[in-house]
Amino acid sequence: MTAFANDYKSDIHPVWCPGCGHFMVLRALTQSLAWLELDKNSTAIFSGIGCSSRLPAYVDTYGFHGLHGRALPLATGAKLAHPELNVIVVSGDGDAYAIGGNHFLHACRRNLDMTLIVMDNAVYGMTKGQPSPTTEPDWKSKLAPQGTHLRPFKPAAMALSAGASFVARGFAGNPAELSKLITAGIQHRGFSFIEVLSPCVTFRPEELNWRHEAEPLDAPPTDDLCTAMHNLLNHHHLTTGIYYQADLPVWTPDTAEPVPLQQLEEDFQP
Amino acid sequence: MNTYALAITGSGGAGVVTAGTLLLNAAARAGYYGWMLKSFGPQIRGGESSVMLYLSDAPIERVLDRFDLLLGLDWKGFERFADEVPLHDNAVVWHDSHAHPPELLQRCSLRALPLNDTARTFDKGRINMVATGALAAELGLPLDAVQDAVHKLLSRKGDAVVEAGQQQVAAGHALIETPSAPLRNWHRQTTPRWVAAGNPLTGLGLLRGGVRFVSAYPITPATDLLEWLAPRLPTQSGVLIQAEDELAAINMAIGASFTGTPAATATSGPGLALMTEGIGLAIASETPVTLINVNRGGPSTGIPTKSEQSDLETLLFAPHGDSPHIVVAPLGFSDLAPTAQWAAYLADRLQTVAMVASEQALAQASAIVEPVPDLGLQAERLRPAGKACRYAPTESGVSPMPLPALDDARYVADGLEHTECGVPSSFATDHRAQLEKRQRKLETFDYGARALAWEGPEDPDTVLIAIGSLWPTAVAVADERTTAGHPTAVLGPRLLMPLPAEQIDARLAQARQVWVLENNHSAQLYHYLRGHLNTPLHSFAQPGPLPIQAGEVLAALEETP
Repeated sequence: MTAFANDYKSDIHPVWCPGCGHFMVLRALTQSLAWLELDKNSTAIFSGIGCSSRLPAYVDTYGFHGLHGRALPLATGAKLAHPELNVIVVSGDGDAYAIGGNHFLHACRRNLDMTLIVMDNAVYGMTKGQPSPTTEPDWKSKLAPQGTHLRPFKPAAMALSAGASFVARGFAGNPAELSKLITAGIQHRGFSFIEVLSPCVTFRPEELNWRHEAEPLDAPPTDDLCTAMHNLLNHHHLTTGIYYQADLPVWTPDTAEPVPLQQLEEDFQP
Repeated sequence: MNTYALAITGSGGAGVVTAGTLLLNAAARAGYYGWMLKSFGPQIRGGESSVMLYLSDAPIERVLDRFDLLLGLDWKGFERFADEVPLHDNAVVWHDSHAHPPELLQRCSLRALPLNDTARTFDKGRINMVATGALAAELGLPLDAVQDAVHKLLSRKGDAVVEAGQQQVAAGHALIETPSAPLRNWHRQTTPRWVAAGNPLTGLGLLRGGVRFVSAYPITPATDLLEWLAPRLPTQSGVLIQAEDELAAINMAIGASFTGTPAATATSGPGLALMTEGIGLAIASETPVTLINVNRGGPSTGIPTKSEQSDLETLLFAPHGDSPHIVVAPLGFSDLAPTAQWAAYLADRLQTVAMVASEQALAQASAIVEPVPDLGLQAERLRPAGKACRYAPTESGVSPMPLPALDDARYVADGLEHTECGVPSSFATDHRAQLEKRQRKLETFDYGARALAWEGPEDPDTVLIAIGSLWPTAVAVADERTTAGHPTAVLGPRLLMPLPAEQIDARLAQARQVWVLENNHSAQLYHYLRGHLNTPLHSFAQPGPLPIQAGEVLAALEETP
């Protein structure tokens, strides 16, 4: 039986603004779930707080809409406790790189088998237009009237150096390619990071121009960290594709021979 | 009840803790009871340390007011411990023949022993092993009991090390020709007993309660609970993960619990503060988590290695919004394992956060205790029979919780207020319905007899209310007062939240005076109880890091007519 993207959509209507890039991410993700025919009951989508993080409610799988910045720890606990679960994390640039930045690094390092999709629009949309870690230094807003004067993070380069074993970049304006990237990410064994440039039509309408600039990476996926980093830093930030895919060890908790619980009480014999 | 209190102090590496541990284990083997506290300077390595060892012929889980014997393996940094080692007028101070006890001990009865000289007659001889033997002899502990304890402690290091240790202990034992040997006249019992530290017992309670996932960040004085669990949780098919911070730790536990695995975390004050937002998420999303807080001196970084009962208000009130949850307190050391087990059971039964108010004074103490029984209570999740709305308003308030991969009843757990089917909602009706349901499930549950403990006469003149490390102290005070003709009982509110206030008021109705004892500065338990009880209360509150002694409480009670 062939599954369709719509089979994976819930009947809840998104809160997003008309034209928001996140609609395309939702479409690409549900398309990937359909392609892979993932069992809805065995799939869970975790999120934090922000426009992007409302996504789990719109997909007909299990989900957890948690705290700002803490989606990755939620997902980490779930995956470790239940390794058979298909774990997907959706986040935004504020959620993943600012308040949740430390978890981003450590999730990459642990390389658990899960997929992180960060919808990056370089702005806090839900709180109505503040700069995020990926915002350009001269972008002016109410909270930073003169701009932040800070150079933006390079999240994909951070993921590479922190140990993620799959790093890709997609564009919400190209959902067909994005869906392929997400599918490859879900199929990859290890931590897959997919940076998705997803325009915010309300607070960053100029991002609609991204569709004229986005172009595919002219290099094949590599498992060489140096080459991947080179490709990342030598292409402009709207270059999409799989930058890095390597077979790296996935963290596994300690295991031990099972013993009856009563046997542990022997520790306490004098 | 006979008691004997001795303290051993020395600089780091002198082996103070080893000596105390050996004597405690030897006392257990010989059929006695004991309680041991450790105290360290702030240095990571090489700082001064001390052990306080209280021996008895009956179970003992508290400090005594005065010490009978103080041994300094050396005297570096002793001043730091002087407050913690109040001596009897006729106390004896032992020291090495080549060392000079500090000025403040000069008025005590001093005894010089050739400890170092004896140790030097052995290759790599250790003063602490010689001293252990000498102390065992002085106390009247049989040499073979100490030798067995040496064997148990050192057997991992090989036969040669065990044998060398035993020889040094024997040489120390022989130094004391005419011991006072107070223990020889005590009643010895051959019933089985455990020698355990508090944090491992707490860990055992979690495992018994069904916890199979623990995520935590290292923090004094909770770390040794995690270190005990680390190799043992996998033997129960469980998972332990060291998180990148406490924010991650609590959220990992929530994520694991979401899949149906009973989950816990352990921390201390500063970590508890960081976990606060996550605690609120677990409460709002009704995802069970057990949280062990090992209270250290606060606020802020405070006094990490010492005890206090000052996190109580944080445990009760930290989560923002209306966030009913469970807070339970162990009543003394032996109650750590049952209380942790009970918390794990309550968290899952009631789909909320259950917090255990542990303390450094319990968690890092060691004791000889009766084997701690398994309550037989295990985490158990109410699951739906078929399709179900996750937050359906049931009569009990507990809604069936579908589990990923197991139940065909998908939902999105949410910290946002939600409808009964888990859809985010800001409607007043949904908010009120969900608030009421989350409160109702806690208030209608039958917590049974564990909620409240009572020790002493049924119709007392005075009632003492105490939890944690103060419970055994309060019991000792009550015993003494009752014997002296002032019938005094102790009430232990093991269940602090939701507080069984009506039950407590009923028990207090006939008492002439009720005292709340606690180890913090602002009388947190007193104020909390005052907010819920109709009975007038008196407060006895003292901050850490010193433990509150029975004598201090007795004196305060006597001053009040």
